[in-house]
Amino acid sequence: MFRKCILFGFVTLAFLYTLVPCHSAAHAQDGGFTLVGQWTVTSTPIGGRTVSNEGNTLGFPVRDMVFAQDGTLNTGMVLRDDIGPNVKPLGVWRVEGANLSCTFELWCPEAQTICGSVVMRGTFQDPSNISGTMAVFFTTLDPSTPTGLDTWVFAYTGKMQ
Amino acid sequence: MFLRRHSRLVSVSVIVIAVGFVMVPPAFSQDFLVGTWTATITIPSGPGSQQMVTSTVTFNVGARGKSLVGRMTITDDQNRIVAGVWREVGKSISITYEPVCDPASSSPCGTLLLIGKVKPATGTIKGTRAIVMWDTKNSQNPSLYDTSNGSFSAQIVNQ
Repeated sequence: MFRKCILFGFVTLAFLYTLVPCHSAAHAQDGGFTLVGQWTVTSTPIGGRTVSNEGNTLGFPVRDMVFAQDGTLNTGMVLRDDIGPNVKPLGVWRVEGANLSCTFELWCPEAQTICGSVVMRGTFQDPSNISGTMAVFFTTLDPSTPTGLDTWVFAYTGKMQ
Repeated sequence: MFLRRHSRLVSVSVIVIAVGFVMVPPAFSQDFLVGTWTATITIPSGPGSQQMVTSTVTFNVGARGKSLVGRMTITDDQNRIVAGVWREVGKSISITYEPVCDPASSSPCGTLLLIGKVKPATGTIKGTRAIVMWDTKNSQNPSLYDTSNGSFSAQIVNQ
């Protein structure tokens, strides 16, 4: 009877061990954090700066962002159904430990429209909360910046839905 | 004679065509970037470094479909593949991606932003800017992270 209990205990433990990696694989990239999923991202100004040197801004809306992973291809998308069903600025991402980086191309319907690219940097507070800064490199030139592009930063926090 | 007899039909057709032109944004006009490209990218080896590093990568650029931006893959010289995104307005293009972060490298990781113009006649991209935004913080930089400037060019392989 004692042997049967021990055997049952081992079988139960082995079963539980097989479940644990399955669960964490869905939530982790390389055993750490992952962006895969849908996030609600809220942005706020840094030091009261609501526009760039050249007067460009993205405003401070709340955005829904969706991230996916297919092998080595890490993709992202901003849902802008408020503008139109096909308005989905696209991006890519990577995670190194607790640090994250994403980069997006903005959606620009007209050649005359000022456009740009957004680079997000941040950290995971836990698997469901991120925060950091976003830098927008506008297509407007600004010789006073190191890149030569009009650059604007703001802070963000993100919560997984 | 035909026009007079079918004036109503012609009027409707003209209106439909006109509305179609209005609804299609100019940015959709043509996807010059779609295809396979070999690109040469030269950037500093790290933040503040004067030493330049050149790498050759392959862009596989997919169609945008109904979107104004598109997806692509970038294969580096070690055959590692990552995803990227692109925008094309007229002949001006912008590509951004996260190159593979090599933990063995002494340089920090970074994000690449490539800006240039497509020259369809020669099947080339003339890069005007290759910008790296490194992972290292720098409160003096307007992006709050170190940035470096480089250069790039590309030649079409298949379209």
